[in-house]
Amino acid sequence: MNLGRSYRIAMREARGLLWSTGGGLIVGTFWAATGLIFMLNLFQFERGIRLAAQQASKLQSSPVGVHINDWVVSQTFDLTGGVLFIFFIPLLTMRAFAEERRTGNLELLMSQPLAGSELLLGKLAGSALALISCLSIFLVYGVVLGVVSTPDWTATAVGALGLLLLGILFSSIGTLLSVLTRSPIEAAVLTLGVLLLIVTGPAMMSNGPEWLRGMAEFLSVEGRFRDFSHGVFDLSHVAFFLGTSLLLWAAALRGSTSCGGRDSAR
Amino acid sequence: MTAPKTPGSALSEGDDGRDLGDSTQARPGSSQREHETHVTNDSPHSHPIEASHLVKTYGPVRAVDDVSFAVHRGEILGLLGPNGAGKSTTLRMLVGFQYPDAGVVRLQGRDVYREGAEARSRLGYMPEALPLYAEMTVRAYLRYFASLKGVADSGAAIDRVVQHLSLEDVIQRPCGNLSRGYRQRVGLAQALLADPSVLVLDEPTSGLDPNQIHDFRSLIRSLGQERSVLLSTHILPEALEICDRLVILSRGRVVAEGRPQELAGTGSGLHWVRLRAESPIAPEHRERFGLEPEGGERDAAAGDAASGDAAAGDAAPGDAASDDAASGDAAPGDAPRSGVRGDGARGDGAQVYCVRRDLSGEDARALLALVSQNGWDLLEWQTGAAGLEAVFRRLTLGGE
Repeated sequence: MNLGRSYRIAMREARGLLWSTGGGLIVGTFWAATGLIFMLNLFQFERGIRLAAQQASKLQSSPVGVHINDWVVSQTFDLTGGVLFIFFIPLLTMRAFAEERRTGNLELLMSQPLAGSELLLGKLAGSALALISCLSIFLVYGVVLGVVSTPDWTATAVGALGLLLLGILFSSIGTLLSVLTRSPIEAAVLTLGVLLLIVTGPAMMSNGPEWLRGMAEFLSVEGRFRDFSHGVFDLSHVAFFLGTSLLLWAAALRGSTSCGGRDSAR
Repeated sequence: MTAPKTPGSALSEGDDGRDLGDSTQARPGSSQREHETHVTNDSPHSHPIEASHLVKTYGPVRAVDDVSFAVHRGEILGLLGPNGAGKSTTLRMLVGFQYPDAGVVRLQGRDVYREGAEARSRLGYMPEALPLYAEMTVRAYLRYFASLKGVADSGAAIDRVVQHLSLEDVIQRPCGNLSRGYRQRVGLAQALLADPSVLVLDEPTSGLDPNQIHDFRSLIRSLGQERSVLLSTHILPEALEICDRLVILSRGRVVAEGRPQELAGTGSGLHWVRLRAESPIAPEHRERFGLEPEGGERDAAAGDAASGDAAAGDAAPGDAASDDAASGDAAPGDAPRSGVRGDGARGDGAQVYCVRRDLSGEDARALLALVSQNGWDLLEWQTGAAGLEAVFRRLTLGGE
């Protein structure tokens, strides 16, 4: 495998995603939405501190602990991963293969002396780069956090890692569905549906019998992500996210290079 | 010549390594030496492109049905067929974009599906859709594809193709702002970046204006002197002008294969004949050869009875001149004949007749003899494109 080619595909992919008008709109909307969530949580935190101080003065006791990680960091990560990603990731990944197929670029790419794995790795890395670029706004939020309070930086870093792992998993799902469809809109709608199912499915299964509850707990992407967002680092969660992503990549590779055609979707 | 042929007939030829067809003969402008010397180290006995037994189905539709052919070294092979004949699907399988349901494609002797990257390393492909990344400049686009092709000195390669295809003026322009002609050139430049020995061009002149078509055809001809070129087209004059050999596809099958002139003369090819007779031609001759008075029966009758002064009043001198000039037979310095009517009938009783139908060799000879015996003026006699058109229509419409 020639990683140099994958790198060039990834860079072009990320640039295409971020520097196009549509990409700029998507990223701008994502930044605005996360900014709004962050600011609202920050106001809530400030209000919480004031209320705690008032209560403490009334009771003439020391204020109840109001920690910025609980009020701002975890809340922002949870809403970003559990809500925004469901709508944002499909828009990010729908172009990966479906758009390339629609415009005819995939035909040209596949006539190059490239292995299917190089192409897929480039596409996935491109989506990951775009995702990381979008999440870079969280560095600004980190600075703001440092200015207004003293957060637990380790827990914050664990939460950020969780957000990245969740983004990679969701991007892998989106890329796989982009491989299997011809229209970007079709890919986006399918991805949105699957992500909604993944997030809400385990909650629905938890009302079932014991074995179903066990399965729901194991499959619960949101449950595992919540551990990260609350600063709990669990290696098994890392293995789950990366392992599932790898499986999805393998499926995407198979989908793009077999099933009756190197280009399987007509 | 191998045309017309049954779909299976090419298969055995390809499998045992013999030539597929007889077109190892060089076309004008190239030489036998080129055919012999343009051999890579990959496999001295392999064809640059070899497709055998290709099958591709989409649901119930068999888009490509047992297609086999080969492109020889230094040859321009045209894949000819009406829309929906399976040309693009065949090309997509050749370049590795789609897997066939059955069959094998070899580029330079390498299996395009098992040794994909190596097989495609000497391939240049220009798809019909001309995909370009709109936001990239032409230079960035070419640099990107040069890196994917593994071109060592991409700067030099880009300069070479930019110069070759006269892209200097647009090199810094975003691809999305290019005209169709420039898009076509950028697409071809991309295909030529790695100096490939095999070029596959899908409908390369579609959407171009006549001047651009002329330039592009010249370009393809010049490229074909150093490379093996496979191009798909449904434009017959283009196939005749550019290609050394043609493979005609219809409904996913190879229905004919051979050199254009040979295909044009296959069977009873269509003839296009114009002649001028001083007196009316006998009905039995008209019926046998399909001689129709130019301008219609009424004019012929008028011509029969015409008196010179009556007709002369109607005719413009220029009409006569254009009549001869159009035929291509007008000698330089020929004065316009004042007695000739624009619609084909002459004031002195002469009438222009034309034939546009299939003529057997025997009929063609008999018609020539008749022209000679009666002293008629033979204005035009064509088989070429007209013949190929007849063959094409017969093969792709199921006979007429």
